[in-house]
Amino acid sequence: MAVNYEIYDETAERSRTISVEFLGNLLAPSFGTFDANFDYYFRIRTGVRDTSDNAIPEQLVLSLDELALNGLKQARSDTAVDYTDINDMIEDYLYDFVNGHAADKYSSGVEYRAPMSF
Amino acid sequence: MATIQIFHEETGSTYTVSAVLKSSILSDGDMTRNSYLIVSTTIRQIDGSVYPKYLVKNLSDIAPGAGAATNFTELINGYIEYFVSQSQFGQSSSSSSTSSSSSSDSSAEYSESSSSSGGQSVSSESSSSDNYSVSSVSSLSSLSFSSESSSSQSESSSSSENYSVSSVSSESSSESSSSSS
Repeated sequence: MAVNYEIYDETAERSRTISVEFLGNLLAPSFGTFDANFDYYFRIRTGVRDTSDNAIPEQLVLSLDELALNGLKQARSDTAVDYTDINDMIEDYLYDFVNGHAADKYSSGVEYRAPMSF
Repeated sequence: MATIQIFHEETGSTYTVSAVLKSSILSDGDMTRNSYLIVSTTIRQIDGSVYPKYLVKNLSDIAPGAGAATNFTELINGYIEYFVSQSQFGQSSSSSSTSSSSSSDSSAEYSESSSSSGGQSVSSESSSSDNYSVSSVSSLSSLSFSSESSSSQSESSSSSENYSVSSVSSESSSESSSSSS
């Protein structure tokens, strides 16, 4: 059961949806080793493409210290402080999905990603 | 939604522990929209009563008596172990781990009128311990990305530049094409 966050763009006069769900699965992570134990995590994704017509990659969040920019920095401000709660984490990830980010934003090492298209 | 199935070998019954992401205004909050998890179970307490639903807003909202959690896996496992040990599922086992505790709970008990779920489930690996086993079931609910889903609309909660997070809908994202069985 996902929660859909609807983002409305005043200029384009249309809204887009970003979906967040909480899952428990055997997870084969992109980084790190696989173990046969269940992991519980948030999955954030959207079918909307960015303004460069690239797909916006989905994000998995296993803990509140996994910050939106490469796990190192929050997207909304130059801070490496853990998210205070689930709501704070989701809002920051939504911000990053919508706005994209500059290359190496806040010295996080991220690659450039264009804003979400509306 | 993450749904964990627990098979109680002694009774042959299967129970579930669910962790569901929700987003709404909390009655005891400041009337801003919040996202949080609700952890619930079908396991009954020793006296036959139901367990309360637990509202989880951060990693400090651990199960009663559970240790600190550094991630959501530890957090949810803490709840599963709490339910199982409190209900003494492993009681008759020779090596049961009933770490029953009645310490203060840092997590707020949560009640709501209804909670329905409609995700399909995919059962996977199970691990047994003592005389119960846990298998995880997770639902990949159907999603609709291109069209607006709207089962519950709410007021704008935050805005930035020329967009605003205007609504949150949950429960059913039905107009999707993914309908795996």
